[in-house]
Amino acid sequence: MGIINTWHRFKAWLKDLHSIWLNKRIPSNNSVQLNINNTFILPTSFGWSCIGIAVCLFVLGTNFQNNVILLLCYFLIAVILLSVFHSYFYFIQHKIEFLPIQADFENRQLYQPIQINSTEDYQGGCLSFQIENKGVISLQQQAKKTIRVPLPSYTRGQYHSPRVSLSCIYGFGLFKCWSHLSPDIDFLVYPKIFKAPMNLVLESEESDLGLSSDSQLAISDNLQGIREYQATDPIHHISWKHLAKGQGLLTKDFSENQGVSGWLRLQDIQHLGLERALQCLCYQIQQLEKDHVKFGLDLGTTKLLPQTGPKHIEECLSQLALYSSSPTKPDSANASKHKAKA
Amino acid sequence: MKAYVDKNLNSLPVYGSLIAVFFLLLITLHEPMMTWVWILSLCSIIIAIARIKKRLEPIKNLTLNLLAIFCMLLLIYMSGSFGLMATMVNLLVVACCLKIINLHTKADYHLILIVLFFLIACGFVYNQSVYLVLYYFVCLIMLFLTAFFLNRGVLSIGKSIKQSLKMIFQASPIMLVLFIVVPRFPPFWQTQIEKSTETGLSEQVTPGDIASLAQSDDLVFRAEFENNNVPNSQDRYFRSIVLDYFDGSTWSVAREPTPYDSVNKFSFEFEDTQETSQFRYLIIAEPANTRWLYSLDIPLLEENMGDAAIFMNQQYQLYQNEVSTKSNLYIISSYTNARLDVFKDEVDFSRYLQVPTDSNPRTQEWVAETISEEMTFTDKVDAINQLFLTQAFTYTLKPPLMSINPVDTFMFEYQKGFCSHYASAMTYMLRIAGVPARMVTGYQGGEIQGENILTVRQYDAHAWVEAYDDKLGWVRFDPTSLVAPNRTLLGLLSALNNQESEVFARDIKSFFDFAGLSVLDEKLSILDHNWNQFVLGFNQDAQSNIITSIFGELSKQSLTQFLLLTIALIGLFLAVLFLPYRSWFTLPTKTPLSLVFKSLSKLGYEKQAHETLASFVDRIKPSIQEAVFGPLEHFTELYYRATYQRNYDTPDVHKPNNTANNKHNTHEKSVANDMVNVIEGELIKAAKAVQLAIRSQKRHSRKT
Repeated sequence: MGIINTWHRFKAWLKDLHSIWLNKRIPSNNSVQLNINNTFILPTSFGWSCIGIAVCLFVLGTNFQNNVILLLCYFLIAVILLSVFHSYFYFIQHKIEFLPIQADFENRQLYQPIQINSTEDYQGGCLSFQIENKGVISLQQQAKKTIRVPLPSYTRGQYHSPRVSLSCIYGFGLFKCWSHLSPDIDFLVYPKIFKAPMNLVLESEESDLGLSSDSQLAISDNLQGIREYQATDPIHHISWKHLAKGQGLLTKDFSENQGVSGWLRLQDIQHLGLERALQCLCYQIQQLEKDHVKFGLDLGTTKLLPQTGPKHIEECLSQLALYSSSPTKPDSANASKHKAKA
Repeated sequence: MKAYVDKNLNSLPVYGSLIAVFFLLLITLHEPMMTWVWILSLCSIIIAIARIKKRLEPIKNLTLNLLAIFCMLLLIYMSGSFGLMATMVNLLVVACCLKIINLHTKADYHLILIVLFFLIACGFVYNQSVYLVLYYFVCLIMLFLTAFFLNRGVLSIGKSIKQSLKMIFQASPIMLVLFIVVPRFPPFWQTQIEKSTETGLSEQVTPGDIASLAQSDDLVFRAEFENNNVPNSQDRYFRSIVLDYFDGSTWSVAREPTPYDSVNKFSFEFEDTQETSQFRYLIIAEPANTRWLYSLDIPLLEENMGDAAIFMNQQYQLYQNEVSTKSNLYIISSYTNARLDVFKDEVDFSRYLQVPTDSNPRTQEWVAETISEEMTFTDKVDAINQLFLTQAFTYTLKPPLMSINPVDTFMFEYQKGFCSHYASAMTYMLRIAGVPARMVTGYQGGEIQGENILTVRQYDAHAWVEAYDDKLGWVRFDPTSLVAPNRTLLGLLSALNNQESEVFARDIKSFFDFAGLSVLDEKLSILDHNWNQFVLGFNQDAQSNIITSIFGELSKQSLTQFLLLTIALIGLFLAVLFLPYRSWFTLPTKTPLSLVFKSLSKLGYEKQAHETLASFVDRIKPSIQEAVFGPLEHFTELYYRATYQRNYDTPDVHKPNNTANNKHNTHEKSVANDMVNVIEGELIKAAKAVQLAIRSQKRHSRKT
């Protein structure tokens, strides 16, 4: 047991050392031109075998004093030598740009969008992306392309994006080029959505009177008519039918419950446990956004005044993601913890 | 996320070329391969094709492992009768067979590629002719193509082939430099190649042996004559083995040759005899199973480019102390008119008079009747020659078997035979008549290729007679030429009657003659000759010759310089290939913004690092003229619009709740793209307007 423990500790120590060295070698940057400073290159197993074969051929050729075998050996060496350069120049023709990570809920897959520009000096081949042992994404067309690389799953909070490993094996497959790039991107993970009864405290009453969500929905579904699209209109209210007919962007105008506005209060559902309560709030916020109800968020220490619109929703969700009942801020603790890992 | 599956794996170009190469290699390796390995490999090829075509389930590992163990046991059991090298080749082929029926991963393909690389090298151990090298080079290219196909991504087959061929041919200059430069080492340990029964002249001749050589068109040697000075066909007697002991049916070499220091003896003796015609030529002798080499009379060894020493003995033969497994290269000067009496004071002639008296009574009787002791040398020889000319002797490669009293049977019963029969009979008779005589085997004739290259093959093997006269020295007689003059003038085929020659012609050179490809044949022979000379013959001496031709003397310093030079050469080559020199010669692309900044700096306005474009424009606004400021302001406005437009355009499609509207989004994007293009165009126009305004202002200020 002791040996295994020591071994694990040793491995962890090595990993730390490696990450410290990597941070110095390849600092965070959102736009990276691959070059000699951030590229690693070593033979693949096939490459090593070819080197071995070349050595064997040299011995064989010398022993039999056979010039043709020596010629074959030198040919192999020349191909290996050139392969180093071909692989490297294939790799560095790419320019990597990390795009912001879209915040999302805990139980959904988060992605790191990456835009790749290639000068296409070398064609074909493929570039593979991977984040922390998650599935490998391979890019086969080069030119200019955006791909999404899956991130590992996180609990709610704010995080710094982890290192992205990209690699390629080009040409005869003798060499592998790779790099571990670190995007300089922070992102939020919202609590996951947990379906719960609506618990909106109406502003007018300012009392603990619960309003059932059903009644809310009933009001909001009344379609009033259709009007010109305005930039602030939610996208799911656009009348696609009309757009398809070529009548331009029109918005379906629902009769909103203009008068109704209320507060979502954490303390009302805190008996479910903090995490569960936050998850319920998440669901409620989503529902209220759908119904265009003006609502505020009361988390005890922080209060957001009743508002509508995507910006408000985003604000509310990020408050939920970062909420912590303890005096120390959870987001910074979380983030720093993660940074150390990365 | 599902793991990425490579569709290039198990695609037709990949396994197709791999299996094709495997098959092509098998054909050339038939020599060391055991029969059951042949059968196994053919089966495995069929299984592999069927399995991939029909997408069958993978074969169970247990089955394969059992099969592998069985094969290994069989190999070990049979390895006794095969050599180490042959067993290794068999092992590699078996390994390939077992892997090829279970191709799954990239690693499987790579393993087979590695094994096939090694098999190619093994093939070169057995044969190094230029044809095989070309054949294997094609195989090698196909192997590299396979390796490339595995990583080609979405590149089309044609483009992949082009790309990989480019990469392969870039390697060839480096290969050549390495070949010339890397020092040669002596063998690390002794190795023995087991050769198949080689044909060639042997040290024992029972008349009839040379006929078996006549059926072989293997190359014996090539000779390249200096100054296009090639002797006539009837003078091209290449001496190889001198046979001086006769036991009644078989001629053999009587004793170990004693080396003779030829150079000292000859050089000054030939200087003053002007009438001797001299031929200087390079011989590249293929490896054979004799230690005797080939030369025209009288040879003077000028340079030996092989590793093993070459000696000459008193019978004017060139030989080595051991049978060489490698080609021999040597340069010789031959003085063909010189009398062969150089060693007359030192030779014991009694051994050339040795005859067994207990056999061939009829011949002895005939000689006793016809030739008397008092006759001169020429008379004696003429008497024997008359016999060959007057009797109905015929030349044939299929004489009847003559085992008891062979000379008698040949001379007086069948009168059919070929060169060794005639030579043997004549030598025997000369000896009975008291003339020192010996039988010489070697090659006669050959085929001229190009202007000065003579190709000699096994079917040019010949035997003739040498008799000694006190005045003339050793004189060459060729009884065969009396019976079949064409044999010496035009070669073997012309000497045979039609029916026989047809049989042999089909065996020997049917292909080239039939297809009318003799020109190609000639070209290939010259290629083969050059290959032998420059590649196979390239050794330490040739290497040091190159170094001395560049640096003069061979020393530690020049060697270092040479090595440095080659490293620099390779480095230079790599630099030419890979340095981005193209971008040095193309001008940096001018963005509209840089254009504006450049023009403004001409007026003395430089943007500070901390400033944005807007604040910079604001700062210089008071000091700038209205005519310039107008366009500048327009540009600034456009610039910001374009920037934000571009930011708006960056795909935002990954928002949650948004997946259903993909179609719409792509449409929107393309619209946005068009807009960006339009704005970009305007931006350039605006930048040019600013430039123009600044220019006119400068011109204006210069005037005033």
